[in-house]
Order: sequence, then structure tokens, then C-alpha cells
Amino acid sequence: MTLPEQLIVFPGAKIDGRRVRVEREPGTGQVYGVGGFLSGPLRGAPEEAAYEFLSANQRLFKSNPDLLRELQVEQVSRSPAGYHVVFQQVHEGLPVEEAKISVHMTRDKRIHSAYSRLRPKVANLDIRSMARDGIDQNEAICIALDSVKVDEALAQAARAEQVIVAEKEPTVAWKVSISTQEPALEWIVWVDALSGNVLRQRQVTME
Amino acid sequence: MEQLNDLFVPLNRAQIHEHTQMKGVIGSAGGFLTSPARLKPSEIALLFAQANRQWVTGPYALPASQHNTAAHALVLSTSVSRSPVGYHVQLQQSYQGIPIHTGSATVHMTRERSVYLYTSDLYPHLPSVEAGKAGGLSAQEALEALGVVLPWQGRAQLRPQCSRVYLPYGDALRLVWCIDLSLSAKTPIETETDRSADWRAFVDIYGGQVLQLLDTSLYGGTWGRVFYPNPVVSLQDEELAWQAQIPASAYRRVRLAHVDPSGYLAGVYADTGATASRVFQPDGLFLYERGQTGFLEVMAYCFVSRVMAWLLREGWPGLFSQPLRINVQAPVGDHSKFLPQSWEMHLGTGGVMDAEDASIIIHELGHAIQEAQVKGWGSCAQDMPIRAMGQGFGDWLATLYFAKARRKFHPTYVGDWDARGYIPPSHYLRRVDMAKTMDDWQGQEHADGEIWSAALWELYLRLGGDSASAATRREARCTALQLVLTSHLYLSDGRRETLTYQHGLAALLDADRFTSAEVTKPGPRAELIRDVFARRGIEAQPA
Repeated sequence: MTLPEQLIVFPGAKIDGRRVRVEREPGTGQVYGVGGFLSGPLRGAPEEAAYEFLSANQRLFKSNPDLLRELQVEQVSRSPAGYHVVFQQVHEGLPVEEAKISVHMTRDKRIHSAYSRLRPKVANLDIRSMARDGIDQNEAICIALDSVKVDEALAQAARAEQVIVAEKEPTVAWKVSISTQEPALEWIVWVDALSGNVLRQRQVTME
Repeated sequence: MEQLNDLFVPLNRAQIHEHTQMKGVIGSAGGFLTSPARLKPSEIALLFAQANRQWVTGPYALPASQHNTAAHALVLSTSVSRSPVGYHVQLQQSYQGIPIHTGSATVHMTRERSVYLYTSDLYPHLPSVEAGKAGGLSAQEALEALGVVLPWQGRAQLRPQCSRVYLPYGDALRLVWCIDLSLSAKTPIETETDRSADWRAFVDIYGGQVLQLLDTSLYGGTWGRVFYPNPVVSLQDEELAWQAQIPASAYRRVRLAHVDPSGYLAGVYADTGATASRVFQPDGLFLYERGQTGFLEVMAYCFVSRVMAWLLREGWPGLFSQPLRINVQAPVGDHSKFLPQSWEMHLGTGGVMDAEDASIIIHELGHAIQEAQVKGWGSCAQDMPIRAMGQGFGDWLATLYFAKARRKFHPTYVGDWDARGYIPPSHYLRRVDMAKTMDDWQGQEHADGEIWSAALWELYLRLGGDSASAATRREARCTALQLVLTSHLYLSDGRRETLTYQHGLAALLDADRFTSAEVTKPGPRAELIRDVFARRGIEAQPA
């Protein structure tokens, strides 16, 4: 997002109706980025300041108190520009894939931008019932290994954890991490926890 | 007397370990804890040795004191060190008042001064030749004998220091002159002994042979030998064949920082533990040459650690929460990889082993740095722009790190030694000064990464990286690094698949604005940044 020449400065955490710069997701029109402003200096640790900002502006990101309550701090980084806080969306204890929100602030904790890929729809789902009668962890691993056609020895045992994949329709999935020995490659495969279908796979090694 | 009793440890109550190099000799004893003593640590150590002389000193007579006149003695050396655990007192072995080289023992005690461990390198046998025997060399004669092996005349920066010691040599103790010399370089440098260095020589008093010659500049730390960054650059030989014999002048001796005391190349930032049959050097001297596995480990350890230490100095602490595990001989062909889930770097083989070229190591390290900054940096489909940005960053980091070393030769090349081993040989793997723009987008992350690296390199040059002034170049390097590393953090939400080079540019503009003193206005370099990227076809959205 390119910022305007001058930032709009307001005293507290809430973007108070004045025009800020907004970037929307092409498909859904949902706001994913806000910038072009400078909040007042906020108190507490960077993650607390970020949370205060998100609470004050939850409508902007189509968020709600339930969703905010389920956010987990993934990373707090310090840079010469200030602080950068990344939250991970979690629902009923399961992380929502790629559903993160990052909040950026100056050294004196004045928020100046945020980028959200939160999935508000997920917050209303009864996830546990969705995953009932589905495949188990070991079945998911077998399906994932088949899908990447791994014949080589594994560098370490494949691991699987349950997550929510929220692309079109939210789905409970097994996220399977695979590391092969020769050649050394790392894969992530998402397997639908109900149907056992492979939702997608990624080779995450960087060369 | 009471204190001696308090410090007595029956041999059957101690856990005894044999010395690793001397069969049948005690190397350490532990598993006990003596009563706390209200004496100086040095006094406790001497009393401990005396109380347990049956097993501590072997044939060496006690009581020991600094002025002991007994033929064989343990005397307190200058080393009494303190650690968070307590005190560690070193005792020096001597015979007839002449120290035995490397013969020492250490008594370890808690802060309350209870002895809990004894470690020993005491030599168990008596010397075969005693100091009083006639016919030995004088110090001056020993220096002359040394001159045949180490041409020191006319190069000594300080007066040579000569002292007599017993040197464990084979199975015997030899009486020798220990000679310390500080020499300037002899030019032209043709051999190792022509370099400027501090030397220690041991010359047999009764035979005149130089028994050992050590470069003591290397002591007091962990040292290695590396290419800096590779032999093509250090020899400035564009056509160097990968099979060629690499001369000594292509190597650089470097101090390896942050190495733990395990004897392996493992430290705060890097650990070569993923390498099969990794090298073990308890003396900390990892001085290998090309062709030896250890050399590859040293290269990888050295440059990962050095780059991370550089980032630390530039204000980026704590990037790695654990050392990056490295396999320097990975069976991956002529490719190298960063494995984010295993937190490992795998360096490939080929005509030139990838780890022989520091730019390849730093390129892969670039991926690890981005992953440390932004979890899952590359966890999207292959060849997406965010991954291409990662490839470009790795190349740029490798050239920026060596900006000074490469200034006059291949300043913009990546893998210029690795590429000599390709079929057919090439002059580089990639470059950071290609004329590519977004019109040249291929949908292949390494190729497209050259657009990003070229923009970052031009940014560095226009910030002052092409200045004749070294100070300006240094400043430009520092600024460019700050901007780029800061910009990564603005790309830290979940939208990996949708991120483009345009987002990368916006992140750089954010980094510029918010690292400046006046954040309400555009950053001081905004215009320059926009211009550099516009030349590559990467336009910022209108403000």
C-alpha cells in the first residue's frame, strides 16, 4: 500500500471516520489493508497496543469480539521502524490457515498500518461437529504421502495437525508436514479431515 | 590437618575417567563434593591435590607450593578463574623447577568452595633427560638452529623469548628451548612461514632439532581457513578451472566466533551437525584446505556466523532462536537448499562443492533470515512473486556482504566459483545487475528474482554504494540493509500467494518513512526508491 504524502493523525486507537487509505481483496471486497494514518501513542506492550487498535476498529475488518478473543500472538518483531505484531486467527483451538493480521507501529507505539487476512465467517462455525467421523491422523499422513509420491526415506516422521482451511467454504483439514531425506525436500499437504481429499499441497523448500 | 581431611576423597568414592590420550592415566574425577572451605580457591586447590596425592599426582611428590624445591611438583599457575558455577584453579606440573609443557590439572569448586571435579593433563612419566646434563644448546644456539626452519632473522618485531621446558614428545619428556617469536611478513609470501605471525618453537636442547613449530597467532580462540568469498575473486582469475590446484594465497585464516567448547563447529548461529562424519577439533584449529570435508564445514560455519554477527551489529538481534543446522555434503546434486521445517541448510555437490563458494552459502542463509523474520515466507506455490523476492534477496545479501571484498572484481556476481564447475563452465550463477524489468517476467523464481535483486542493488549504489569514499559506501550498505530487512516485516500477514513486487516496493517505502525521524512525511529516500523500482517496471500505487 502506498502511503499519502501526509498521514492523518488522530489521538487514540480508533480510526475516527476521517479518510484513511484502504485496500480491499479483489474477490470479496473485504478490507485487507489500512494505512495512511497515525494513531495516538498507545500503552502497554506492542501486542497490547495492537490488540487495543484491533478492538477499537473491529468493524473495519468485519471482526467481532469473539474473533478477537481467539487471536493468538504469533510474532512480535522489533525493527528500526518500531514494532510489528502478527496475530494468528484460531477457532476452537484450531489455527485458521493463512488467517493472520499484522499491525505495525512506530517506536512510540503509534499504529500506522494493519493488514488482515482474518476469516470472520469461521468464527461462527461448530468446528468439532464438522470434523466428527472424519479420517484420523494416520490416514491423513498416508494420503499425504501418496499425494506427493514420496518413495524416498523420510528425514523425520511425517507430522499432522488439525487446522481450518478457509478458502471458499471453511473446512477442517489435516495439515501434514513431510520431510524427505534424498532428495531433501519439505512438503505441506492439506487433507480434508472429513472426505480425505487432498485440498492442496506445497513444496516449501527454498533453493 | 583438619582441612586436609575435609578435602580427602577416597578413590573408590570418585567417578574416575581415563585420560582420552594417555592410557591408564586419570583424566578426570568427579561425583563427589567436599565440605565448603574458608580458604582462598588457590589454597584449596593445592590442599586438595595434597590430600589426594595418591591418585591426583601419580609419581609427583607433594606438598606442593609455589616455592617447592622437591624434584617433582605441582605448583599454582596464574590461572584462577571464576565462572557462574564457582572457581577453577589450574595447577602447573613441573620437574626440578622446569615446567612441563601442557602438563596441568584443574581443581573445580563451587561458589561455596566445595571441590566437585578434578581434571588432569598431568604427564605420568619422569623425564629421561635431566636439566643438569652437560652438552646442551644455549638459547642463542637454539635460535640459530631454528633459523634453518623458520627464517626469522631480520623479521623479529620483539626480542625472542627463550625458556626451558619439558616437552611431552612421543612417549618421552624432552628438555627443550621454548622460543617465542613475533615476526613480520617476508615478502613475497611464498610459504606459510613467510606470513606475519607469532610463532612458538620447541628446539631440543640436546639434539638441536626443531621438534614443534606452532603459529600461536591462532591460539586463544577457534580458527579456520576459508575462501573469502571464493578463489575466483581472491585470485582475480576469471578462467580458474575448478580442478586447478588452489594456491595458499587464495585462502584466508579467520577467527571463528561463537563456537561452543564441544570441539565441533557448533555455535549460536550455525551448527554443522547435519553433516555426516563432521570434523572434531578439540584444540579449536579447523585449518583445512579444499578437498577436506572439514573445509566445507568451516566455510559454512564461518559465513553463516559472520553474516548473523553483522546483522546483530546493525541492530538485528535475536533473529535466530536456534542455530541453523548445516549439511555441507547433502546428496542433492549441484543445488543448495533451505529447509524451513527442519531449520536446516543443505549445501550441494557438483564440480565445485557449493560450500566452497561463500555467495551460495549466504544466498541460502538469506532464505533462513526471511523465514526467521516472517514465518512461512515461502510457503506458497512455487515461482510466486514472494518466493522470487526471496531468491533476489538472497543474491543481493551475498553481494552486499562482500561489497568490499568484491569491489574491484565481480562486484555483482553470485556463485562465480560454483559456476566454474558447471558443464560447460560458466562465469557466474546469477548477477545482481541484470537489465531485466517486469517485462522479462518468466514465472521462474530464480530468474524473476534477478529483477528484484537488480533493483535492490541499484538502490544500494544510489544510496552511495558506488561512491569513491569508503565511508559513504559503508553508510549506503548499512542504510540499504536497514531498509530491506525492515521492509520484510511489512509483508508478514498471511497473504503469501497474493503478494507482488508492488507490495514489496510499498513495504520499502513504509520502511523508509517509519525509520526516519519525521514519520508523518514521506521517507527521505522515497523519491529515489520509487525511481529505482520504476526503472524495473515496478510502480508504486498512486498516493
